Amino acid sequence: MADFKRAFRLDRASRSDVRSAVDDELQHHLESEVEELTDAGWGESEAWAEARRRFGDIDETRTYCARMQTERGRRERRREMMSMDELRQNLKYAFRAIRRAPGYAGLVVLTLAFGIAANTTIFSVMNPYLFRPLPFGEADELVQVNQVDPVLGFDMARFSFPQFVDWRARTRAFDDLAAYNYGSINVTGVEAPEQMTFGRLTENMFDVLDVRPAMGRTFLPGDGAPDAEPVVVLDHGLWERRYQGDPSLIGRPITLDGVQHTVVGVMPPDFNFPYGEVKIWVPLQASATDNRDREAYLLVGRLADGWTIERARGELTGIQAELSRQYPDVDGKMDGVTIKPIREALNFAWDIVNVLFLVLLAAVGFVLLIACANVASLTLARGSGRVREVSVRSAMGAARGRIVRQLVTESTVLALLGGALGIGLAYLLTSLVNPVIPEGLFKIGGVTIDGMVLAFSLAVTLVTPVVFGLLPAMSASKTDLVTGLKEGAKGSNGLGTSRGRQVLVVAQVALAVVLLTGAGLTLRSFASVQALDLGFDPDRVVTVEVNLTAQEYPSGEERRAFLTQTVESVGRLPGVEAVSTVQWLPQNHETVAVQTVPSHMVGTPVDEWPLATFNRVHPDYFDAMSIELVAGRDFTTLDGIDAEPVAVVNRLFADRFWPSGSALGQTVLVGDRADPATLTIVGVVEDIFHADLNPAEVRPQIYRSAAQGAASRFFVVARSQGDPSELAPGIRTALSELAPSMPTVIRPMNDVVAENDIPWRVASVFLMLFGAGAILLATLGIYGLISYSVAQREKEMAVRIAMGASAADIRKRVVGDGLKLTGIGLVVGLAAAVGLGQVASAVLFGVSPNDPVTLVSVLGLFLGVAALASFVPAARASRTSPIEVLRAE
Amino acid sequence: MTERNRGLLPGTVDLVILQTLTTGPRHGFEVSRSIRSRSDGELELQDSALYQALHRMEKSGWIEAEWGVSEKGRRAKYYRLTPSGLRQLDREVGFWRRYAAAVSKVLEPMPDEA
Repeated sequence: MADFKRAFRLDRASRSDVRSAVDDELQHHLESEVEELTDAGWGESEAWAEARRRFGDIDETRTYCARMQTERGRRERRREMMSMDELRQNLKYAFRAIRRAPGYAGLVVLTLAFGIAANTTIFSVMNPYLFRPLPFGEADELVQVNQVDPVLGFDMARFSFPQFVDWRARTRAFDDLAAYNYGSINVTGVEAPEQMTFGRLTENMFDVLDVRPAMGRTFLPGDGAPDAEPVVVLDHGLWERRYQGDPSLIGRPITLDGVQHTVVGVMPPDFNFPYGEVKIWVPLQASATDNRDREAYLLVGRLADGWTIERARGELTGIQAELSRQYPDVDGKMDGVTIKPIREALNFAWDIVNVLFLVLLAAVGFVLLIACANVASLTLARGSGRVREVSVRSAMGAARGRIVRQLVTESTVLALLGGALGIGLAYLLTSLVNPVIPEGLFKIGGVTIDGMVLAFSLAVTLVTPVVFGLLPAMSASKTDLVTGLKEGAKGSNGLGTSRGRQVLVVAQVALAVVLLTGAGLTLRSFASVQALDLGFDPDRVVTVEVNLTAQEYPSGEERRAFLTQTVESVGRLPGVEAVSTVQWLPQNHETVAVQTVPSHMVGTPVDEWPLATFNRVHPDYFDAMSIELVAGRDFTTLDGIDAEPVAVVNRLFADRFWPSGSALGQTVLVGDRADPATLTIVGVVEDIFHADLNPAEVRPQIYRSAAQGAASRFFVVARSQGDPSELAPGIRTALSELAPSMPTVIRPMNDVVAENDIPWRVASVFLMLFGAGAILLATLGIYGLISYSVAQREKEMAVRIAMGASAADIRKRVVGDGLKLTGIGLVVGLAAAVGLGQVASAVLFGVSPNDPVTLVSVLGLFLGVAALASFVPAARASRTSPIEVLRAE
Repeated sequence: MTERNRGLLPGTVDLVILQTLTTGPRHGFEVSRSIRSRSDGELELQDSALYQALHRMEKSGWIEAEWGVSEKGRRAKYYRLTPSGLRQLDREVGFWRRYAAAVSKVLEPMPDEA
């Protein structure tokens, strides 16, 4: 009965339908009245006039009734939208439809799952870096402050403690300012010695960050005084791992760099400052009378109410100018202030990370679009098979909106199934990704699927049926009733969807081409990075960081003696080809620049002295790292503290200052402000990539003899004859004999270098993965469409064969169709890829965005795949038996 | 726009129409004739007001409509009471009886004045 009623409820249609229904009703009334009057003997025209007169104002009534009907229709539609009854019924239909076509449903769910998994994974990787709330109170008020050093061209220059004290006293822009830095520290005690990264924080830092400890306390006023009892606050993970989560640790001493510190607190698990590797915090013990030019600290501040970054920068620039007048030799060297939001400042690869994420996000967006296009195409194809079903249902009176809603319900159910599977897949993917993510970059928590990620995935999931389901649903509901019923039984092309599917396949190919071109360019960039001649050879080299504590090695002699003993003792190990030490390991994010000037240029102003990358090395360093000696000699054991100060420079240094002559025997002044030294150049070596992998950052370099310095921290580098990992146990034993309480962290030099190519490594892996998925989906799209059109054109094929076309002709024709579609997609895609390549050229390395190798490979790959995808249906078409097909007609 | 009625008090139009539909579905013309005959011609509702009331009550959900074929073989729109229309009728009838009783009481001669 309900269906019957719905079928004949005509007034729910358009405005004109409403009008004519009202007119029909009023007309019926007037006719009945006229009939009554004529029965009573009235003449026809008088009867009509009388009927109209009795009725009253007809026009007003028509308008009024039409308005009532329209309002009723609107309300009813709204009610129907919300109707749980209809929803339940739609769901029932949806599940029935899925059961009836499990192949289609399975393909749709898998395709969407792939797209959603890709998006969920990338978002869950981005989340800890960009979105997850910081573990600080009111984090949007927190900023980091740095100075600009115009000589170095460096906008992240630090502050000395006396400068910090002055700035803090003068500023009104901040509720409070705090200072910090970080470094390596040796943790010893009952447990095995361990080298860790620690933070040195002014006693007010925890208050500025607005954080509370999980246990115990943080720092109290007075903890930062130079003579205060040393205290320490521990990371939650460290406390659990190294101290088995023992709560009685609070109040007990631990030994840091040979000094006893009392553990006063443990931070909550999510606390992270200034980055993940820092597990120990001690008070920064300094005084306002310390050396003003020891610029070692970074500042963090909490902006006061009403102060923006811009305004605060103005104020601080003024303070800097005042202090510059007071201390022209120290503060006067700085010119400018940088203020960055804390999240951005703590992530020192912020720019790279952002570009990388943008590229990956665009890539997964494309994957999802391709997946949706594929599903839309499948749905359209299926739609033509459902013409009859839809026609019958509209003949039974189902309104267009109702049919659209039902088809959209079906799409949504499929999308939700795909989403659930996709999220499951993403769990798997993130667990694979997590171990590869470096700890060094500031992030909040791990790469996990949390509430925010789930919300994102759900949003993505719910967008997909709109993209892939609405279009086919609209087209299905427009089905012409009569043709649908008549032809639908034969499953003919009643919906005119062939054209729509062609457009979708072209779009899919174009998107996949863009994605694959991007993947290709990234892979080529990665290959260029890998093939880069660094000027040294990291293979078979292991490195050990050595940190000599001031307690155990107070004098320069002791430190130099330790260095010599270490080199000798490691050198005696079997399998060691060469061993040496270096103060600043290349590619380890530590670059020290000094001002140097050749003796013949000493008269020029100090500020104009050129900068050179500085290092101190032991004899045999160039040998151990395979850095080619171009001229002169290496350092020797004779270049000791009492010998003539000597230097080795790189080729760039020598060529720049002595373009026509030899650098050997020349002298340079190294502008350590406090202690300038005149050095004689004894050797020239090949340039190396020290700071990073950017060729533009290869600078003039100057090396001094380690034996002519007194560094307390340096790296031992050893080249092995065979597998470098076999050296590790020997080195460990040798070092523990020399310094039992010193932790040894051994890292292959290849790992150190690899940290620098992470963006390309990550981008290549993900883009290749997504690219492979994209091309698979596009292939399925081409295959699906060609098979479908071959099936549609069976009769045409049969006629052609009957007319004498050979099997090869038919195959050529069908494959040609496939290639034509692919060709259009390729042209569009390659044009888009070249355009986007220009935009993304910042992430490319050693490869042009128009790289012919990549473009030609993508072109060839797609043509091959398209030919393959069309060949199967082509072969089927060529086997068409004309007799059978035509007889079936 | 207002409904015009002749011979019917304001507020009683809905009541009368709903009452005529209690005996089964009717189209507009039948409603009009039924009101006239049941009141022995005393009550007459102008046709324009009748149709406006029918459509307004259909919108309110008190009655629902369905196209059918009349005894005379014409296509006509039949109205029938819905459960909510029946409840509305009860409310209006109750109100009208109380109102009429109150008015008649007032109209009885008062002993003091006699």
